[in-house]
Amino acid sequence: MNCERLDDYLAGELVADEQEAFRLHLADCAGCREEVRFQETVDGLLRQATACEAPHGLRRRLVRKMQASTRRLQFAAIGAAAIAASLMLIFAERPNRRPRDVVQIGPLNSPKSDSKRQAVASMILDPSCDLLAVPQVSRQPNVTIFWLYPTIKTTAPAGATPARDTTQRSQS
Amino acid sequence: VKELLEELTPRVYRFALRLMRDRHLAEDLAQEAMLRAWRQRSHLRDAAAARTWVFRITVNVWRDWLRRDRSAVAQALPLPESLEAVSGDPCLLAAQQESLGDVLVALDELPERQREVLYLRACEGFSIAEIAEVLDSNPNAVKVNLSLARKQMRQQLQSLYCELFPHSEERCP
Repeated sequence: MNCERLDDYLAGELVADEQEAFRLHLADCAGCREEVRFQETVDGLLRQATACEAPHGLRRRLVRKMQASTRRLQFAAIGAAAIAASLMLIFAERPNRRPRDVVQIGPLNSPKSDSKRQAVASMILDPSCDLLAVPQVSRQPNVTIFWLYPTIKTTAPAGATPARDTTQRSQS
Repeated sequence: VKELLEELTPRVYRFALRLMRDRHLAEDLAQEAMLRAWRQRSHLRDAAAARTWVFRITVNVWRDWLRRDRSAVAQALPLPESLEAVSGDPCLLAAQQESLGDVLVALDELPERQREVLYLRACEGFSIAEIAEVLDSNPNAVKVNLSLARKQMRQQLQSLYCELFPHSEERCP
């Protein structure tokens, strides 16, 4: 073992046997010995000089923001589930359903960021359906409420009664 | 999560302080990094590697900031607040305060990458491989930067060296 391993020793890169060998080298080499002691002193001073507590408010703010983030996700999931359930009920009641009547609905998930997850639903409706979404006033900033009005258009024969509108309220 | 928060928040803040060299910016950086880690927590495979992972996120957020608004970050003033934080401890002796101040000055005068590597090794005790992971670098480059940083510190802190080894004829004539 010689002075060339000084950097590896200081970097903590020597395995146990090598460390032991380098310590034996230190006993014979004043230059390395001084350098090791100097750098260890510098490391100790650096630890002291950079030691400081995080600001008091930082942890509290972090906890608050993390809780808010969790709540947003919960609201989004509940909202999406409510919309899905409402629309399923509406279309389950329709007679003579064809496969393309099935509603596909779900939250838009961004794999990169949960914060962008919103209770936005994508829907494929039967071409004979219209959907009105009317935003309502919400007291909670994290919740947006829509009233959904699916309107099923039917072709009424001459002289028959007018088409029936199916109205359903949902929340996201 | 609470335990991780308790452990990592001050560490991340201190690291952010070395990167930003400004308390308010460091607080913002630490907060952003911790929140990003929280949102991406499902990506963490090994809980034992949480510290390395969060530090890497901190570096990534910092680099994002540099790319987005380099001037605001670059204008952050070095040192005075750090020195104030150190000298605020009444238990420290004057001589020790001077040494601490000198060491901080020397650290902050290092080139950016050398400063990061030395800080992570000396203050956080990361291994070379972990530092490479945090800085998205390779271990050899980290070793070279650490070696250069130590040599630079040695030159900057000549007075400390002579204080430690007053009879060293070779280096303190």
